[in-house]
Amino acid sequence: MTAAAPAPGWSRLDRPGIAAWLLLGPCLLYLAAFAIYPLFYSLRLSFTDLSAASGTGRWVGLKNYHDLMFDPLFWTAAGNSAVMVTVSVALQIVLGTALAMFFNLHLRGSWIVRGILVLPMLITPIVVGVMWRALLNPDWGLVNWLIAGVGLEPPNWLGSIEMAMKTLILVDTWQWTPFVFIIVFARLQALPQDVFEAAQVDGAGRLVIFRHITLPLLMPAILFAAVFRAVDAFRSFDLIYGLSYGGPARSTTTLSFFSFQNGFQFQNYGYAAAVAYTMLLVLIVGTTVLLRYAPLRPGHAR
Amino acid sequence: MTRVLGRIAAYLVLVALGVVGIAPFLYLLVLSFKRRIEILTQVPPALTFDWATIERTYVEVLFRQGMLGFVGNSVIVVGAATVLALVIGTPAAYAFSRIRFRGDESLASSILSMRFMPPIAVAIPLFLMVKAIGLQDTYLGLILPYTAFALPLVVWIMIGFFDEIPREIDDAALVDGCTRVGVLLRVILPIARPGLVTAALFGAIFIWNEFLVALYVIDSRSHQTISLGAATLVSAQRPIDWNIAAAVGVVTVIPILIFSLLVQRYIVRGLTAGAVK
Amino acid sequence: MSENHRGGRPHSEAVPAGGPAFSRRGLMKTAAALGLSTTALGGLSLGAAFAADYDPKKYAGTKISILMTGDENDHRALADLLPEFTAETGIEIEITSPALGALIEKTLQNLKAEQSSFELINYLGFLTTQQVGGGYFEQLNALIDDPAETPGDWDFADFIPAAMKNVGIFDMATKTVGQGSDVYGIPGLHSGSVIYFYRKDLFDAAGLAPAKTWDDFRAAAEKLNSDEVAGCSFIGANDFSLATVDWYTRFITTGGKLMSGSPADKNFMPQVNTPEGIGALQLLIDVLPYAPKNVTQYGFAENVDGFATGKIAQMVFWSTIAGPIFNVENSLVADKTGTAVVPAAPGQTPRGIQGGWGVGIPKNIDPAKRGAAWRALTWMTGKQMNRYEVAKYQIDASRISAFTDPELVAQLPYLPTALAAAESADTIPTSRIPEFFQLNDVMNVEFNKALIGGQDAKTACANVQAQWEAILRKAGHLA
Repeated sequence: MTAAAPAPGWSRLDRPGIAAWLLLGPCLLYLAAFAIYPLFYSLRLSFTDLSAASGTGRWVGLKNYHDLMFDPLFWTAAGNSAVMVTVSVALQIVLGTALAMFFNLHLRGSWIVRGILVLPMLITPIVVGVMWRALLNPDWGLVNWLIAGVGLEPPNWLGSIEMAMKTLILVDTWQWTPFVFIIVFARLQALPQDVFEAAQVDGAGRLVIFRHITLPLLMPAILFAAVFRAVDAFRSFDLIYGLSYGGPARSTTTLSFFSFQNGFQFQNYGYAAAVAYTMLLVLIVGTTVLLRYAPLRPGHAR
Repeated sequence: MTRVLGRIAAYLVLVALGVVGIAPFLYLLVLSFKRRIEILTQVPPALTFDWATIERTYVEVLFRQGMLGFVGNSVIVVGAATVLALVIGTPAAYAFSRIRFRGDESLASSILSMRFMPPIAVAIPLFLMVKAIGLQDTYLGLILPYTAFALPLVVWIMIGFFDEIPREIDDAALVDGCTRVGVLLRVILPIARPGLVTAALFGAIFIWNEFLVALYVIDSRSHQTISLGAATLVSAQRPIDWNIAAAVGVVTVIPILIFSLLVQRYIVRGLTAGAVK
Repeated sequence: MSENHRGGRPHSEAVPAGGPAFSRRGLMKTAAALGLSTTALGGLSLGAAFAADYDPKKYAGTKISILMTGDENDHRALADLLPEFTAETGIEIEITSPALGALIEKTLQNLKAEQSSFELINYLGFLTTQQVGGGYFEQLNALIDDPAETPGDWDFADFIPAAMKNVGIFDMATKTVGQGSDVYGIPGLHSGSVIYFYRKDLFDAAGLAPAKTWDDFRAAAEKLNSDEVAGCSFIGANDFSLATVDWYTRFITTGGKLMSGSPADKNFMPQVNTPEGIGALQLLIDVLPYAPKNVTQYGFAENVDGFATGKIAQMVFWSTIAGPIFNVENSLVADKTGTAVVPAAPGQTPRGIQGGWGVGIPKNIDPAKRGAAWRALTWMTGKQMNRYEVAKYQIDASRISAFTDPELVAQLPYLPTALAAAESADTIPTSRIPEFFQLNDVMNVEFNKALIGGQDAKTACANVQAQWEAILRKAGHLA
């Protein structure tokens, strides 16, 4: 996603002059209004006991945070989030990159399939959830019919504790692999061809080229996609809402759904805000650590 | 010989990919053409269609339930928010790309982390803000928060895009006596047009599906967005009318499908701006 | 032909309750005074369909917004009859009908706001204590008693008493639903309890009578179970109705009582880990072999679909599904299905949980619209609407007349059964506290786990008991 090296003539003497403020100002002001206020509101909310039971939230300090530390349901959700995010993103990265390499062959007519593959990520997650619920319906869904047709026993997609999370990961991968694919593919198209030509002249095999040349060059794009997907997978709840509603037996309740459930279903707003803020903390720490080791803009590293 | 086999295998994979990508959607389409009892008893669904049934389902969804209006509302709200995000975000991205100052990395990172907040936590405060300004149940009441959602993504895509444009172009214009802002407007933006389209596309995709804020802000049917309409499908306490649900799903997808077909070439091209030297 | 009779409906006594609220109701001062005089006029019967001072067009030109459930077909029934209403009264109505979760969210936001965007709000019976008890809704006695505001043929006494007690009557002093004579909401748009559905054709062929006890139920399930038709079904998934329908029905009809004590006394103790509690769950586990293969994934939708496509021989369910089951368009068994009250242990009254909704007027609406809001409320809950809903959409009515109308009964034979069930239904005690949904969720998770074989009934009930006590203690209902 970045230039290979800073262009010559680059000056480090620029101070944020008027131009900078003119350009940045509106954006910062806008975000201050519409992003900062909600963040502070939620923070404050997480220190109260606002719920349907107590009409006006009283200040309870860190009680919500204390409660969630000892809430087994919180930790179940945390575990589910961890599993879902790591497996989904890993799967999507691998598949997305593989797809990018595959489409790099530029087979005839592949642009049609490329267009088709963009579809899944355009559909509202709730609709995706309902759609797959239909596909995986144990009584009349198409998927089970196909599986039974080849003589296999269809798994209990959304009904068994062991299977439900795998189903969720599968559907999420179906929906979001195209995102990774597009980003990596675009990067692939932009790579300068001379490096490859040189390597081929030198007699390097395809696998070697991939591992030592292509992959490192693609890294920025892959990382960008990975970070984005990780953040969104962590936050996503409407797919779960449409597909499995956190069940069965909470096996697909991630932190995001847990926060949603506490706020929306049980009306424990203070607690839900605390969970949400804990998630935010995790995300900030996670991405800071990640970006320190793999900067998104190598040309501008500190 | 292996080359031919390899080729065949490759095309098989290609077709398989196409099938995997489109099959669920086609299934949804077929379901939307059937009667409810047919969905439950015909496995797999027979590909015979009755126009009267189809018409009834879609009339119900588009007009009685108002999905057609919802589509229009979504287009208006998401379109306006995306444009606004571009207008505000592009200059900021340009500044981050070209101008160095103390704390610019952290500022850029914190803008990105605006996206980290789980939806449930921001929905209520945003709604309260909108209500306080008096924009409850209006388009603007949704457009303003949605712009804020799209901004970080737009800024980040445009930064990457601007980074690809060599600074010599800027410098040349500066030497010619242009101001920084002028450089942006007259020189860089025209080059960056594919990037703008890409940022717009991704920005739009990410706010198209938003429904929590819409849930609180919008009261009346006439202002409802598509995502709100889709959310009402999922309800525990009644038998899901699968044919209706499928039709709603189809209607949800069509507008953005059309949009993406129109800008398909920019999706890839836009992300590879560096090719322009 | 009934008029606004005195019998069976609460009197608005000398000073309608609700201090400050009273002083805000400028209009209502006159009505309250009228309330006194109509009580005095007690004995007079108003022969005409409309009382002399009722003017349909009194509030013409006002626009009312209704927030109601979109989960059933109620909003469609309203939409169907709306043009007639607007023509008659000049009042326009805008209906917002989100799904349940969204409805509750919007309701709470509006009730707590400075001014509600909706003049009429539909609330779930289970949330009566929370929403009505929270003091958010207008007391309606004065309006009910006022012949200038209430159509003469509205007939308060026609509402099923159990339904009215479940959603409409609330005692603010003791925070108890169903007690006293203060009315804060009207049953609408549908009430409903749990009844027993069975395949007449299969039972007749096997020489079986519909099950009267749970042993009968099990025996019939075993006998009728085959590859094509499951002997019985129930909610087996982690779904709202597992606890409230399938388990709770079996629990109370075998002598179980869910809670002892009361929240106010801080001794609100669950009785889940009892022989009745474990037994009720065991009744479900025992019939697993005769239920559909995927029953542990079956929620509301799957069971209705299963029964409607002829794959289930009997089940106990919300009476509202009678609609889809008896609808020839959507069901293959419309003419083969019979209904009866639910099975019960010998000596116990067959009954299920009280479902239903209420409609009320939030206190914080624009005062100028109050009159029109009440008018819309009387229309929504009136006899015409109830009968229309039953006839067209097979929605469970809230009025006795809609269940007993000969024409309707001829068309929909399950109506008398549904009425009997509605009249004997049981208001679940846990709906008195805001933690209701949370408690329910815990129970559904544990019971579903037992059904899929992850634990036995004893452990499940013990787990539920422990978690419920923890939640209740944290909320302060249990010491």
